[in-house]
Amino acid sequence: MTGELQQRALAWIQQNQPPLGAGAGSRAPRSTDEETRWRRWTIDLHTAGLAVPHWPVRWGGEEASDPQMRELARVLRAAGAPLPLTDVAINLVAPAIMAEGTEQQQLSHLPAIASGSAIWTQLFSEPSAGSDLAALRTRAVQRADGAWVVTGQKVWNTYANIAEWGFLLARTGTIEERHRGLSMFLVPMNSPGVKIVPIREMTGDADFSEVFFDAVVLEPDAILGAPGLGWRISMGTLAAERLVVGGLVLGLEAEYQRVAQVLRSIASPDPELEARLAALIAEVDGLVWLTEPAVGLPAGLESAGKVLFSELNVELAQLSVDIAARYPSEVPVGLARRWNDNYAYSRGYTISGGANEVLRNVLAQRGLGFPRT
Amino acid sequence: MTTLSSEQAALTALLERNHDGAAAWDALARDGWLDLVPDRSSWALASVAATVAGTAGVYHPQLAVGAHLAATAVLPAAAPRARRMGVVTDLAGDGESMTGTAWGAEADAYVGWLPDQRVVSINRTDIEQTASPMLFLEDASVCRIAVAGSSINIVEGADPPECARAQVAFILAAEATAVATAATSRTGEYLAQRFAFGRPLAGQQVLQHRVVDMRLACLTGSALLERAATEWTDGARPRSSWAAKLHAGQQSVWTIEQAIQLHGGIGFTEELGIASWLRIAQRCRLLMGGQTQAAREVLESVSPAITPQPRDWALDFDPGMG
Repeated sequence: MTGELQQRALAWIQQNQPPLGAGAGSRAPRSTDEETRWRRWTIDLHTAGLAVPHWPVRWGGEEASDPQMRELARVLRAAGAPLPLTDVAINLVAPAIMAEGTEQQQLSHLPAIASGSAIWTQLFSEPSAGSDLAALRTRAVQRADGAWVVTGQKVWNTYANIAEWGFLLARTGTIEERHRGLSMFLVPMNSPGVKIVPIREMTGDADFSEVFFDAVVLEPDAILGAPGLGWRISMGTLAAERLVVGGLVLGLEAEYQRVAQVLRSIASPDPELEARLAALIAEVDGLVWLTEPAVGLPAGLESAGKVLFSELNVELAQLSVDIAARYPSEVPVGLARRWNDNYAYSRGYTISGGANEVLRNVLAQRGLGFPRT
Repeated sequence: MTTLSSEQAALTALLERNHDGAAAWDALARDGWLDLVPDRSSWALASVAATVAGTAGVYHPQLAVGAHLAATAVLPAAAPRARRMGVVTDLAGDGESMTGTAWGAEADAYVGWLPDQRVVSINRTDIEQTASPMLFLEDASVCRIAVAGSSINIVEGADPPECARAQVAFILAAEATAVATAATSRTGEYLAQRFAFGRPLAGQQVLQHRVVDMRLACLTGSALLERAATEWTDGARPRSSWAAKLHAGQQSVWTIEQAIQLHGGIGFTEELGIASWLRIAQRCRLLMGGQTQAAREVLESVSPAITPQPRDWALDFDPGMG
C-alpha cells in the first residue's frame, strides 16, 4: 500500500461502503431500490476516479499502469466491494470502441461510460451458440437507406434488464461463412422491437436475461468497424473477459482471508476444514502470481486463468458453506447468506466465457500441441 | 522454471552426458552448481538452485542434489561444509538418543533442527544406524537414522529456523514440481506416438483433458516456486515455500500417478523411470512433517495484505431480501 491511487482507493472505500446485497461477480439488482443504490455507488466510484484510471487522459483516465490497477483491484476486493454495474462497459465495450470506433462513436459513448452513467450488456450468446459462438443466427440486414434491421434471439445477457446499451454480435453474411459473416453493433436497448425477459437462475436471482429482436431498426452508424469484423472484435472482448475473470482471483484471495478469520474464531481446531483451506490457499496464491502483470500466463495457456479461477471459486465456496453449516453460531447470518449465494453463483463461472470443457480443448491444442479431436 | 531456460538447458546437457550418478555429481561440483547457496539475497540464485535440484532429480533420482543445496542454504557461510551434505528432518528423542529422517542417504554430513528449533549438524560417522523408513522411498535417497545426542553439534549463527526450514521446503517442492513437469511432457510425447484403435491416443479428448490438468498443476507449482523465491529477495515471510511444498505434495504426486496411468503397462515398470519420479514427489510430500505440517505453516502465515475497515457482515444480505 504505497501508491497514491491505492491510498485514494482505501480512503474512498472507508467512506463509501459497498452497497448492501451486492454479491461477488457481475450481478443484477433485484429491485428498483437496489438498482438505485447500486447505480449511485457505481457513479460515485467513477467520480472518485477509481473506475477507469487506466484509460487515456483524453477519455477521463489517468493512464494508470497495470500494477497500479492490480493494487486498486486488491483494495476493492479486500473491502468486499462488488464490481460496478459498468464492468461490462469498461472492460469489454470501451476497449473495442477505442480500437474500432469512429470519432463520433467514441465521443458519443466513451464519456458516458467514463462517468458511470451508461450501463451496457453484452449480446453474444444464443440458445444454440454459446461456446460455439460462430454458429450464431441473429441476423442484421442492411436496407437500401443504410439502416440495419436485426432479427433474432440472444441469451445469458448480464445487466440486459437495466442496460441503456447493448453490444450486439450479429450475422451480416451467410451461415456458411461462419465467423467471417459476423458484425458488431451498438444498440440502444430501448429500441422498438427489443424485448427483454429475465431468467431466474439457481441463485434465486435474475442476473441474466433473454433478449429478443423483432425487426429492430438501427441507424446506419450503429455498426462498429466494417461489416465482417465482428468476430475479430468479439475475440478481443472475449479475451478481455477471460482476463477479467482471471483477475477475479483477487476476490478469492480476499475471500480465503475471511474464511481463515472465521476458522480461527472457532474454539477447537477443525483439521479437515483447515487442510482443505490450506490447499486452496496454495492454489489461489499460485494463480494470483500467474495473473500478476509482470508475470503472466505462458503463451498458449492464457485460458488457464479462467479455468483455474472458476474451479477454485467453486471449491472455496463449497468450503465456506461447509463451515457455515458445521459452525452456524460462528458465522454471522449475513456472511452465511453471502456464502450460500457465492456457492450458487460460482457454478456460472465454469460455464460462462467459454465452458471449461471448451477451454480445455483450446489449452490442449494451442498450449500442448495436441490435434483437434 | 519458465524464466531460466539457459540454466535448464546447460544442466540437461551436463546430466545427459553423465549417465553414472557419481560422474554426474563430480561434473556438477566441477562446474560450480553445488556451490550455489539459495539464500534470501537473490531470487535468481534461488531459482537456479531449484533448477539444479529439479533437473538432477529428473535425470538422477538418487543424487540428492536438492538435499545438498538445501543443507548448504541452512548453514551460514562460515560453517564447515562437507563434500556431500544432506538434511535430517523430524529429529526427535530424549536428548541422549535421537532419531530422524535423513534426506540424502549417502551424504557425508547433515544439518537439521532440534525440537526447540536450534540448528544442528551431524557427521555421517556419528550415525549409529540407518534403516529405510518406507520401502518405496528406499531409492529416493531417504533413510531413517539414529544418533547419540552427544554426537549432535549445535550450529551457532545459523539462519532463523523459520527461514531455513522454508528453504528446505522450497527445494523439496522444486524437485517434485520438476519431475512432475517432466512426467507431463513425457506423457504428451507418448500419447502422440502411441496408436490404439487406429489413431494416436493424443487424438482422444478425454486423454487430452487429463494432460491439460497435469499441465495446469505444474503451472501452479512453478508459479509458487517463483513467488517464493521473490519473497526471499523482498525479505518477506517465506510463506510461499510452504505453499509450494503443500501443493507439490498433493499435485505432483497426483500428476505423476496420472503419467503412470496414461502410459499403461509400461508406466508400471521401473524401466520407464517415471516410478522413480513418483518417489521424489512422495519425498516432498512426506518429509518435514508431511502435508499436515505444511498446511499448518500455510495457515499460520495468512494475514490480510490490506486491511480496510471491516465490513459489518451482519448487515449484509438482509434476510428480507434473500
